[in-house]
Amino acid sequence: MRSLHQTLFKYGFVPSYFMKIANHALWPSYLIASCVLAYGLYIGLFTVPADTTQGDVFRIIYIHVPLAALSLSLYIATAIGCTLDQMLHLKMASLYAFACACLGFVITMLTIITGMIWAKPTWGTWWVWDARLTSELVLAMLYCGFLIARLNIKPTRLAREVSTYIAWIGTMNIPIVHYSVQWWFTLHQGPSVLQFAKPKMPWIMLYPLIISGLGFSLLCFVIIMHSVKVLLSTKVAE
Amino acid sequence: MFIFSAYAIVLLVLITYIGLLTYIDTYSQSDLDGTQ
Repeated sequence: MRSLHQTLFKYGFVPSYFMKIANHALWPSYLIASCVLAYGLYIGLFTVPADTTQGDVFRIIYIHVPLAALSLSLYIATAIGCTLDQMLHLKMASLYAFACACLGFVITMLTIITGMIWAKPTWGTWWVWDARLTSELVLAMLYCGFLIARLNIKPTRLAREVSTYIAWIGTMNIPIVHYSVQWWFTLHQGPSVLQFAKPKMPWIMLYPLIISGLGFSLLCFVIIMHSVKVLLSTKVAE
Repeated sequence: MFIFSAYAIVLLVLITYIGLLTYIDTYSQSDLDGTQ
């Protein structure tokens, strides 16, 4: 067990070993992630029956929900990366945090955009200042603040410290986003998948969501690996 | 229409993101090798 931890640490946090594995595994991993995602999206789009009340528009769930879950997960990953960087002085953790924040910002914006596209035919409006939508927008701003601090403050050490504080403070927003639909009366529907009780969705509609969620998660993992590889290469190039 | 626009936006953005990473990666690698 100990050797497994050591191996994971070596390949995850030692740049030379990381580059070795990233050079070999990057494109096969992209291929596997794309196949899983394509399968999940295909069955979500074409084989699942239409919803009785929403019709075909409900199929946006197969991209909106995985992206929303990832927008929160990537922020937590950013905060963990920053913590490891500050506590254990792992430079690679700082690169992971930066890669997670860049991708997290894009994913959060995509969550908001797909939510708006879903809201128009179902709610009759693109946007409402509802607790869930507003807290998700605050999450996008927190990502933005993190990246601005990280890219603009000089010296780099100070930038890493300031962005870590933003990441730590911003984690308070994560439970607010998740529980906003329970704590306040919102137009956004309550949890039907990510809850401790049995999911409210029927299995035939749920399993494509699990597959597309797995596909998006794998793709994000590979994109982060690719981003860290690029950051290491450009750092070496400097 | 709404469904396909949502799917298209997400996939296009992700493909562009990966494309940009690949471009920077290739550029930095060739820079390191001294081929440019």
